[in-house]
Amino acid sequence: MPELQVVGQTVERLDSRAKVTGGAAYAADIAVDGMLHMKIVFAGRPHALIRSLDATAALALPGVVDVITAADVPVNVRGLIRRDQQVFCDRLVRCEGDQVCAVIAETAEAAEAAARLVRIAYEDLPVLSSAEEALRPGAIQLHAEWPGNVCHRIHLRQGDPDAALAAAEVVVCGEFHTPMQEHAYLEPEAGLGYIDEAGRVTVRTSGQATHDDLRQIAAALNLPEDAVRVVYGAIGGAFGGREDTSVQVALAVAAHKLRRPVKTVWSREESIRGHGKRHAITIRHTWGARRDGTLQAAKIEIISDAGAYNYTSSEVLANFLYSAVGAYRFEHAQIDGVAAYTNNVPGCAFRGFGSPQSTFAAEMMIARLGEAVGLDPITIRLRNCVRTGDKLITGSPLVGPVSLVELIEACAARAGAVREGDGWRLPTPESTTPTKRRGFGIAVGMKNSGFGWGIPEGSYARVVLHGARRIERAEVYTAAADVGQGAHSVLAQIAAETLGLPLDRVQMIVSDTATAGDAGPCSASRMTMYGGNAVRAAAAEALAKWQNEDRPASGGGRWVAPATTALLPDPDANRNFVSYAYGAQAAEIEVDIDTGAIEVIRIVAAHDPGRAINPQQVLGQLQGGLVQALGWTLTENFITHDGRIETDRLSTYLVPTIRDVTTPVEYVLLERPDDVGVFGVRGVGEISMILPAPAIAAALHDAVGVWHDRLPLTPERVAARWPEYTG
Amino acid sequence: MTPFDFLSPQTLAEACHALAAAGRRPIAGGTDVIPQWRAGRFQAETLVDLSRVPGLSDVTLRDGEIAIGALSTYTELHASPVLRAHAPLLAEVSAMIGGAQTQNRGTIGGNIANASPAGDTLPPLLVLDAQVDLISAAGERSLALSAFLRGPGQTASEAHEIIRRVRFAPLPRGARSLFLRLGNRQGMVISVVSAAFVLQLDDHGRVEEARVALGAVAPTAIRCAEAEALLRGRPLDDDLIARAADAAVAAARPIDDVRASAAYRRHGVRVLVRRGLTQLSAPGGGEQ
Repeated sequence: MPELQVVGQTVERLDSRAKVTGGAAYAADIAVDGMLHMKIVFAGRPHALIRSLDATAALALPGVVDVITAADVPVNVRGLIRRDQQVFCDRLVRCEGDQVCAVIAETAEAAEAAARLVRIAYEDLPVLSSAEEALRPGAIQLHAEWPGNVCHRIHLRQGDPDAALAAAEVVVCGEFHTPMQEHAYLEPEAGLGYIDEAGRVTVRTSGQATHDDLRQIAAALNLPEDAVRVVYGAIGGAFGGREDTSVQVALAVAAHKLRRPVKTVWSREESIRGHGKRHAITIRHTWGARRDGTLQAAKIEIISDAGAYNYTSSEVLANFLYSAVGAYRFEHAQIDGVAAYTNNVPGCAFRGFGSPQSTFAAEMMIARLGEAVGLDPITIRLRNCVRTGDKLITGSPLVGPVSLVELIEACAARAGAVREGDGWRLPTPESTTPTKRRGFGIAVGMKNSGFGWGIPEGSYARVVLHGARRIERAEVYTAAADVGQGAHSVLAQIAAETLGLPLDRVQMIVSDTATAGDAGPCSASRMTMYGGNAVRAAAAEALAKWQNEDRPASGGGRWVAPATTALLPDPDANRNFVSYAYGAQAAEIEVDIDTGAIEVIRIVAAHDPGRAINPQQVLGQLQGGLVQALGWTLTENFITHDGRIETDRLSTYLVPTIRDVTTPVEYVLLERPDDVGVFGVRGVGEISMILPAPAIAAALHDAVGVWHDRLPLTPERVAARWPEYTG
Repeated sequence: MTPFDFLSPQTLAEACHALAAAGRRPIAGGTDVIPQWRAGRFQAETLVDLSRVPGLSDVTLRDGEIAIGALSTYTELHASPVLRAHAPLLAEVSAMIGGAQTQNRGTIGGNIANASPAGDTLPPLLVLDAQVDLISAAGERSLALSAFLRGPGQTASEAHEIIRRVRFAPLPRGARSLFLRLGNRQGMVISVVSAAFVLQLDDHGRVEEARVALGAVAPTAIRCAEAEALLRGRPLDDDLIARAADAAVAAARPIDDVRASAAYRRHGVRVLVRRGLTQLSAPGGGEQ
């Protein structure tokens, strides 16, 4: 490849100045003349029949324009994967965040006051507060179409795991519990619905996929897709939590009915109740191995709390078909998983898409196996981890170079581990405080980039070149969402590189379904890989036309990603993914044995971005994932009781603050170009999120000799396992 | 969120007058009042803003007494030379409450009036034997903070009364003091357990005076009379510290909530009291 000019450079992000100076327009910042305000009335109860809804008093309040209900929605359903949630509930409420109606008024104050005047008579129903409860025989049924409350099941069997386990020299078991996690993006849900100059029902909001939002709006309004438009402005974080709709359909219904602009802005409490969470999952493992630590067989059960609606629960569970075994080779395996409908807030996409949960369990298992067979944590992993040419447990070949061994060795070396004989000698940090203990832990893992599983994938982009003798301006049209990760800047770099232009001659025209086709969602670490391929292809086509004297010269369309397959019975036929990210992280922690408080002293994070388009953005993604993982591991304790969220504000749901993330992190970046990603990139959006929890839990075991199976590692949980605990 | 009227009296007399009517509620920094209003937890028709009333934000040492104006912010308390010299634990705790914005807006009067069981200035003020001065159109009165705090969000003040100042004697030379707390993250967090100590030791390591207060483990911040009685007159050794910690645990009446269980809070009381007293028993520990 010729030397790259713009790709590989840390260039200033296109949006950073506007964001730092306050100029960037988030959805809540938009105001237009004649705008109305919408207040959604949430059910606020986990399971109930709606006996009646009386909006008389609300409508009588001065300034109130309308109260929209289920009757106003032509096709009253929404849902990204499965349309199993009503836009407005007409009869049955299945979770606190269900929307029952919306008050629209001339002012936000009037809308809010009127919302309290809507009289809804509920008959509360028994609540299914956990997946285990929902799966019990005789449990009440939440969705008639999904008997037994089974939202989704997965099953995989390779070889003969029962016989292999019976014959195994060493058997290790474990049961792990991982909690829900709130995305806690800076920008709560907000949006403006209006009819645009072309008569389209338009929603300007924040999301992860303009076209996914558009399809749900069009379906609910029973309109053709070209009668609907979705536009994103600046987006204050997403992390998977904006894959499903929140305000979009309600705003579209209101604007469509009233023919006036309608705005809504959620509070933090509404945001926490109103969007999905990382799935709470229970994972049971039984592993068999040879005495030398070579893995042979695994039997794994996964029980996932889907919450009241599917959202992406079925897809998150499906990813356990490969990720349940971690980044390890097994000859024999059985994986059984179920996602159950409950009355909890829906489980949805969240950075890692099940891999933080699966990796935590698998890494705790390999750590225990190492202990059982007397191998150090690095050697046991190197003995069993996947290598170039290996296959997933499904039989799908691990295409592309597998850099995991290299990453593990680099991480270990940087962290201070030393090869010794057949194994590795680990650092043995000691605390200087009598009431504290230090420990060292490591974790390794992998994450698919792109959806895989046979889902048709691609991305649309168009490039138009303007000028006469030279290219004065390159317009790049893409609907890719810049959720804060810097997608637009990276795509601009790719366009500039392909066109041989300086970056300032590239103009990004973004995130509007009226100007660009479907780029696909910003999820599964895929946008740089696939959106980048689309931009490069469009730019190359436009450049060829330019060289052919087209003025302006235009190129582009839908770039189609290599095909994948769903899980097929014949292992050799499986091609489940085409790209992966790998990583290894080491953590040194200090734990206060009296209070149980954990301080992370140091982290080493070794990752392979394939090729860093913008090295600073790669670090940004890795840092962001790490911090989110520190929260999930240590402080973020999402508590529900009988379907009710008890941590609905940021004073009770504790995301890390700047004081919690003073840990020095040393990054080791190895660039081993991928076969599929543009310029060799691998997705780095999620991989750093999946490793801190098992690394810290392993370090905690090293420090105090206790295995913890449940996250988060709150001070109370840690202290309560110490022999001198007096609580 | 119900709308409210907003009055900005310019003098203490005007403020007292404004609060004399029904449906009025004072607001200073607003770091508690505004979140409570947003959550719909009170229905005042009129908020009376005290922040423009002059003369309520001084920290003075006069006639052997420290007086802190109720409008003093945490930032001001942390920077106060008087507190740093004569009540250092109160200066220290002021840098541990909330983040910088909260410290710039929040006031000591607000922390007292809010009467949260977990209010972080309250255990330090209790071990300083603080008096709370109230004023209203009907006159002035003064009562001990321990009598002022009645329960979660409950105080002995009437709706028309304003907290004017809080007073206490400076710690004597050689007195040792300390504030400790447990929380579920590094700052910007509501305490799970807190503890404040004032200790005076004689030349032989015997306890002359002991004051111990706890936060977040009872309906109000509390003093631990039994632990204090146990400590007074005895040499501060490990055995005495363990017994004092037992007595403090016995005084606690914690609850389970989203932050921690009652059991962990009891354990936390033992840990903090043991740690606090051990730290103060060391040569020069926590000394003025």
